[in-house]
Amino acid sequence: MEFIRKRLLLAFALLAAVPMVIAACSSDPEIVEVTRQVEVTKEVEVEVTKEVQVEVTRTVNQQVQVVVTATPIPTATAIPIAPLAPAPAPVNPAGTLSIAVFDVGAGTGIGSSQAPVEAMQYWGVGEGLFAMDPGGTILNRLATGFTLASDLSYVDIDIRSGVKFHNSKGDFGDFSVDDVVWTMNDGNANTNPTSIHGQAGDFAALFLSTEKIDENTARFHFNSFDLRWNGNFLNEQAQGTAFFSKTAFDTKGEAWLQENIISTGPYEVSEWVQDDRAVITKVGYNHWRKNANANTIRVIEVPEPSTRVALLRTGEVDIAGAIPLKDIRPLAESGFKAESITRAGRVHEIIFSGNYWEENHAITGEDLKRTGSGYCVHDLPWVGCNIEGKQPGDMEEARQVRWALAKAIDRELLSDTILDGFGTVASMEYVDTTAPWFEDRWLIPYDPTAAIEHMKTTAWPDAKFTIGIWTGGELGGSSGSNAEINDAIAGMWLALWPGMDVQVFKSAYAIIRPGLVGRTNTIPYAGDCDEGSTTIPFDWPHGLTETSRTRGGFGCGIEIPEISDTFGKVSLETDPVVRTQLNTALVDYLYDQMLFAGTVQVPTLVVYNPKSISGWLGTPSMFADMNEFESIELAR
Amino acid sequence: MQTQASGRPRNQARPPTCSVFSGREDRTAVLARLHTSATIERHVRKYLIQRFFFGVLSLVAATLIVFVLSRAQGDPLLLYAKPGGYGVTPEQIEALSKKLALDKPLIVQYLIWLGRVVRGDLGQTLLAERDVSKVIGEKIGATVQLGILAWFFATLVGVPLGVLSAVKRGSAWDYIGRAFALFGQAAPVFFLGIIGILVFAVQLHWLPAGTRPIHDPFWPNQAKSLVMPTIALGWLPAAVYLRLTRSAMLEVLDSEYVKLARAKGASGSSVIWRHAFRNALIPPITVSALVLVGFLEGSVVIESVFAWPGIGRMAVESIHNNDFPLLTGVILMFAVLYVVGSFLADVAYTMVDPRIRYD
Repeated sequence: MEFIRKRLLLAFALLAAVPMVIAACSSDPEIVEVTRQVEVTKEVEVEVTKEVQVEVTRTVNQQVQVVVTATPIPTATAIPIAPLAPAPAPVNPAGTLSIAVFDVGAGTGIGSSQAPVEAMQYWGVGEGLFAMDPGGTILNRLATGFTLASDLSYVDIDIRSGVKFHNSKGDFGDFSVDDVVWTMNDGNANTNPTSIHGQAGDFAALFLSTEKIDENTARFHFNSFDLRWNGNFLNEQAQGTAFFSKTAFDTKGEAWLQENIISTGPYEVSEWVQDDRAVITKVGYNHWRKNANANTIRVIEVPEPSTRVALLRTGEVDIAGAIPLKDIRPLAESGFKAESITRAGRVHEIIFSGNYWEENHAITGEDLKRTGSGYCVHDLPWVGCNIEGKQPGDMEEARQVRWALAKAIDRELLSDTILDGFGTVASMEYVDTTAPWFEDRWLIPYDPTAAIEHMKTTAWPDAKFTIGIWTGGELGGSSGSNAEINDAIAGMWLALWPGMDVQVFKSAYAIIRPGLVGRTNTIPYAGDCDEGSTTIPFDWPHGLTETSRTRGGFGCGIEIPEISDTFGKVSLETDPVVRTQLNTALVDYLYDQMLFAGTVQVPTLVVYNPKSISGWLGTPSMFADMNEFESIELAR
Repeated sequence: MQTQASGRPRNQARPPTCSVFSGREDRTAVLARLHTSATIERHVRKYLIQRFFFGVLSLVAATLIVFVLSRAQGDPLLLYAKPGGYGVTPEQIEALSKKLALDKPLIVQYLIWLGRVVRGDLGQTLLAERDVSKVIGEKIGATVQLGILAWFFATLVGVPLGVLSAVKRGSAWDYIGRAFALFGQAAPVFFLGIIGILVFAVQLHWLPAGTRPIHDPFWPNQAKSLVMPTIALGWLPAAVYLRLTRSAMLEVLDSEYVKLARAKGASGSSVIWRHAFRNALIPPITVSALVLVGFLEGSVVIESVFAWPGIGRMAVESIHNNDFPLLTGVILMFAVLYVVGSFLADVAYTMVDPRIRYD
């Protein structure tokens, strides 16, 4: 009892102390009269009865006298928030750089299924046959030229001579045609069915095999010609591969080459620990293309974005990728540099999954069994059934739902808030709104009134249905923007249709992968479908993974015959003007159907300490946020 | 009042133990009976055989469950169907299935895996075809280093503070100890980590913000990198130790035999450390072994916040990738640790309190 009594007394004493402290810290109550002159500027949206959307901005200059009679209440003194300290002096010795990244994959020379091979060529350890300049022109790297067969059955690629393999772990000679043939055939699933190379399936679709013609030439036999063969599938900054030493494989064995990377880039690997760190060092000879500036680069896996920011601010790392956009402005204001090294912005969009409209496989002609009992049983509002007689009007109704959902998204707001002004609005997946080929008619207006009207024309006038959004992989690494954008979109939909049940799924990719591969997924997919990189030229074929062509592999939950047909035509078309026309017609169609509701373009910015680095010019990349480490200019 | 040789009053309730010895025998007699070498040997042998049997059973059950559940995520070969391309060809699926024995019934696959494990081969990862044992070996060092330090921190801070808090009950020391426990139990680990980084690395520049500087030859720098992860990881268990020790100590300090020891003129420290502390140790010891095992299994949060390349993050990655050879290998390691940890805890009981026996 004594204990309880003491506790009660203490509690009362604390309660009594609070108003006393407030009173003590505030001035005496008094009645004041305040006269203020306020200039009001107001934006007024006027809706005109004609079907013309006019946005009027009217500035109203009006003198308003506000008389306020108030008893001042005690307010807390604003705590001054210390501005960020200026970019610190680097901790690393001159000539050494540390980079914090979201993920360091497995550093295996061969037999690797995921990012490491790609990371290697992005970082300057490996090299591919081709690259691309900022204007979209294909550049030779390990190739010096090529000759395309007139019937498009093969391409002969001339191989660069005088290129050394990394030699700190042994003498593996110069790069040769044998290395090209061996690397390609080891990775290609047609020639090595147990290949787990990241591009095994792509190479198999594109190339039957690769063979040596002479000491300078390798022949790539096409399985199915695709005009992107060098711009994408053999481009080291896209879906291409780095090349490894066959001599190393022959002399050291497969197991050794899995743990050691012998390639041709300006950097070689000193140490690589999966999901931890990679240490790369400048090669000890004159590199054929470019001698690197930094002697040693440590790439450290730091999964937590806040820690990446902290490491920058303490000077422990010189460069960090996948920094949340909301953290970039304060860093930039305190002196750090934030740049898009690879110009690889990504389009975020809502893909209305479940619309599997192809009836036959685009390549094999196989019946996809869509007309039986297994198709269109979902009765999902955004999914149209294009089977004749199944549900008359269903396709149009679903289109209206998709348009309603698309028009309910305030893209400007997303860009200004979540992207902190660093992004731009997006409309369609294949087209960058800032690019010269973009047509204004493809913009999706933010129009809540029209959205509601669209929805009213359907069987769900109040949108009382359940819709999910699956938050896919983070755009440009794990900076968290994707999930935030999806939460915001869910909020925008709920604001218009309170009866809607919106579920934002943030599960791992592995959870949804079976449905994507098996073409059964009906949960709208948010992110991009690997086509949303702003560095992909418009006149390329688009939408491969939105067709049945990739069955057995990844798909985004839709299979549209128009995309597949256009993809096939553009792949074979040699005239870029015709290709652009075909793609323009496709985008018009997709815009009308509103199968992808683009939202914003998310930039992939890299932040670095200018006291360590004075400049960095990467090459355009489809996926990487940083590349060409050899082009980093040191500040000291 | 008559007392026994140990100083315990005859009718006093005994401290809570899992002992099954007769309450009518005095302590000396019990110890004498238990310490007959033949009896001890028989009990120990039976106990070890039982524990070994159940340990093996646990390992098989744990790995079998994980092996089966990993297929609930779908075909492991889907790992190779990466976004953006044509995916996996049917020929690839067939060849890889054969290579990985995925074309066989699940139970056969498991038995094949188990056979390899018995021969010391944990197989290869799906992601990069690297030896599972090698991949685990790359991570375990960082986890063990951090785990053991955090365990020492938790024990060396939590237990003495618990004793102090109980002995100085109601004093400022008690309030400080309880505040420490309250904060440790209430504050999420990631919060402690991030705030620690903000204050001690970014603002004060006393400690590094993260990563494990294994290349730094200057040992103080390596030691500094351990301070924040150790405290962040060890604070919650330290708080648990504190509370357990405090409540156990309070209970023991209130017991009759302690009062008697005081009445007999035993010194304060003798009463606390010799009579009370030993009996109060059983609950913290119960938790202690499992805390250590938990630490050795890695902490995803701490490893992520401090970019610590441990095994916890790797285990989660293997789940995301459905890399079942790696996942099963990691689970096997965790299960072994758990079985051994539980065994050591049991042994520790008997060392602290010889009255406990397991038959």
